[in-house]
Amino acid sequence: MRPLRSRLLLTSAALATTASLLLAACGGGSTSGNGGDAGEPVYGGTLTVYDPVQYAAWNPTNSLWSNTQVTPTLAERLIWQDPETGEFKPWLAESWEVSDDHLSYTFHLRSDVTFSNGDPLDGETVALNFDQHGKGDAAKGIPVDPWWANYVGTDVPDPHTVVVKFSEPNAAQLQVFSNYRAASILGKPYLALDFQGQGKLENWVGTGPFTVDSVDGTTGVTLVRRDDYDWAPEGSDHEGKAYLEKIVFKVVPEAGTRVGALASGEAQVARNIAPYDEETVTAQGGVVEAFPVQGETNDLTIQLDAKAPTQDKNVRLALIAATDREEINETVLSPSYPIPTSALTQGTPLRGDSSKYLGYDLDKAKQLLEEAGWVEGKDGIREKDGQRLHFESWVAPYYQVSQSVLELLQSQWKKAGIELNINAVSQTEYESLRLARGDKWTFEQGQQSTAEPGVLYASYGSKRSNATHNPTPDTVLEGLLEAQSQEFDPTKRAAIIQQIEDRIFSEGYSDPLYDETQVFGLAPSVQGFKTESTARSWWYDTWLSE
Amino acid sequence: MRRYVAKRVGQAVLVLWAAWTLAFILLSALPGDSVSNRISDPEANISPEGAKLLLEYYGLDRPLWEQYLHSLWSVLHGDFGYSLTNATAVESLIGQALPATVKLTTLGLVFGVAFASLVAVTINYAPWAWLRNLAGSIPALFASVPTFVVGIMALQYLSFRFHLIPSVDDGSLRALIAPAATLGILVAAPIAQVLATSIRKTRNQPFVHVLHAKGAGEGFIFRKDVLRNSSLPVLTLLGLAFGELIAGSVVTESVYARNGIGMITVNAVNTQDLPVVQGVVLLSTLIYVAINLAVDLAYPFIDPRILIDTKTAKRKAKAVRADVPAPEPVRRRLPAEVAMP
Repeated sequence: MRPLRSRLLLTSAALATTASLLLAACGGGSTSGNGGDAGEPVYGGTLTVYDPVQYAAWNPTNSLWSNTQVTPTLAERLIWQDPETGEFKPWLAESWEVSDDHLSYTFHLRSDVTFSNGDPLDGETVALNFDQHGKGDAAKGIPVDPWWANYVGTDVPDPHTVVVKFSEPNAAQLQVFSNYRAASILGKPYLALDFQGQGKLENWVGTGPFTVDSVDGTTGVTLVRRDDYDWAPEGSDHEGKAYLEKIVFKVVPEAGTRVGALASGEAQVARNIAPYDEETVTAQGGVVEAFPVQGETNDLTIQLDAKAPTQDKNVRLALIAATDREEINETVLSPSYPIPTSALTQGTPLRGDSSKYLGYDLDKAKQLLEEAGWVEGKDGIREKDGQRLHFESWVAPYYQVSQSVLELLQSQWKKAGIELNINAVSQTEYESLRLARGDKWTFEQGQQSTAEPGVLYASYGSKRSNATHNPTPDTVLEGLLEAQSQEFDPTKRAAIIQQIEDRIFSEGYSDPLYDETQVFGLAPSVQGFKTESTARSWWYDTWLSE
Repeated sequence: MRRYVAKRVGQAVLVLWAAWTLAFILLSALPGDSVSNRISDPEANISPEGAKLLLEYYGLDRPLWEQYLHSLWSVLHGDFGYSLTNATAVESLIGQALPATVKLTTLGLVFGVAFASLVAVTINYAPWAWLRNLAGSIPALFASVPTFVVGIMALQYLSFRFHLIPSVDDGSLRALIAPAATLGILVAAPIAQVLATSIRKTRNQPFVHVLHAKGAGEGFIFRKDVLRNSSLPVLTLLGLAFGELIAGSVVTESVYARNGIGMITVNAVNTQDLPVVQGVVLLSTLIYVAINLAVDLAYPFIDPRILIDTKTAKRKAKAVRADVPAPEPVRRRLPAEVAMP
């Protein structure tokens, strides 16, 4: 473990500031294409996409970012969630009803849908899919999908109707049916395979507008269009087959190559453009498009089982007040990353407004620490009973901006007399530290992404992920989390979500850093590029001009 | 000769087993494992029961010694297991990636030897002192510039500025030239250094003076006598250079986005994909051992005296290997030599 107070910070800060000034007009979290002046859409062409991360096993529940730029376009869901409004729209199901007790969901399937192997979509296949998620299959090595809590089973009264039943009502359930990793419908030959077999992309049999053409180990995938596709989700820009004829995905770890390739025309889309590269992309004539990853904001969740000064609520609140989110945005990020004003990112349905808790207030931070008995020591770092106000943190390997954000946070907290040490370790070491915990594991950087406010339940619920590791569960919070999952009236539910956020921030459980965002670089020829609600690419409406 | 080969092959098998076992121990000793990593990813959202099922499915719940014996038994039967992150059989994962890496490293070695020979000859034979001095500083330069810097520079200029080469592997030969040259630079440095020194020493040998005195031209002496006498230490070095080629391919393949053994290795180590790491270790050990075996067996052809009697031969091979920087030249006991003043 080595402390990192890198001089790189200054350089990247300067670069990012320049970038943010130049890019002031280019922010936002739009999910539409990048220009209305490209003329009529044209069919045909090959789109090349560069991604930095090697592909892992292709099981449908895998949510690895690189994999999920490919899979949501191969297999489809019963309903489509509009990424902007959060509304649900018909897709493989043309209509649906929810029973009064909210325990059963009836879906009426389209009758014209076929899988890529020619099999028709029917209720039996849908039920097989949901059973594999909800019940798992130990013989095949397939674990139960935690997204399918309280699943009872699926009835198939006729070939084009399914009735999905649960033992407990859940206000977040409908969204699960729209989610790419929880409810993608795959064909029977695929479902017959074991866990290992389901991990091969060549085996995917879906109903999507593209099918797998070839797979090149862990570093390349080629998709081809299905010409007989005619069941795009409601709200798409067009109907019938997709515009693109072919999509070539290639793993290119080197950031400079991904950016350079956009300008040289070798690639048309590059994922994971770093904040300091955004300016390069636009200077080369490319387009930077940022998509909010709906769900929780990227935050430091305070670990309440750590034997650290954060056991004192005032200290926790001081940390939140001493965090300058605007400076983080301006210095190490870019306007592509919205500044958090809630526990949920911009665009997440029913999110609350917690901006009153999240303003930068150094005086308040100092005062809270004084009240907690932490007085300024010789070198400016506060002390109490001979103990320094010192914390350890670890760079979270899942987020490309983690280190630069932590480095800035280190300097911000120092102004309030708080010492933060940053450790950078490999991903495997990070994972084991995370599992082992220990007294120094005070903060955990992260977020869960789902376009549903119930994600807070999944994250904070003591019987779910238990994000704070609170040794004595907060009964108030637990009650509110439970209540929102039983509340089906959106207005009332939004009120409970606000109460949950009030509780989280008034107790100082979470210190939001930035809204989780996926940044893509696009060549100017790319039109109609879209993502689904958690920023996974949806290539159906994309086309190439020129 | 037969006993010599049998002993070398026996040693090779032992080395293979040891490398494989060591990889197993090292990766098992590291905290965490591939499946636990997958489980603890915040986005993965797997329940403890699901995690248990996955560990059982991959056999990771069994005691370590049982896992070891089981995988050893499987390997002996040609079953290298499945990648824990990729659902692909290790042999097909490696099999897919191997041809690309073989092409890259072979061409890289050719480039490396060509660069090195050019530099070594220039150092010794260039007509101007400034050129000899300039060439003399090249090995140090080659050795100290990291591969990724060369790679990124090459991409920026050759690919993005002048559009001479594609920036990622498109399967063409053109795409192979820059990565192979990058790799060549890496291995050229030590070879050039040793070859230059070796040529210089050989040229100072009395028999060369005699050849000069007898009226032989510089070019003739170089081809007939100097090159042959100077190449033995280089041959030994080539065996070692292979290790650098494998290590270099890890970086080169990442920079140039080429699917190959290097890329697989990076991913497997990052995700602690034990079966894949072991597969790669086994493969590289096998190649390494085979190449060094070939080098050992090649000595007698360059220096026939190694086979004069087996005992001496063995000692000689060892001595030559130990002496990489300053080996004993092969001396032809020309009658004239005895008569040197």
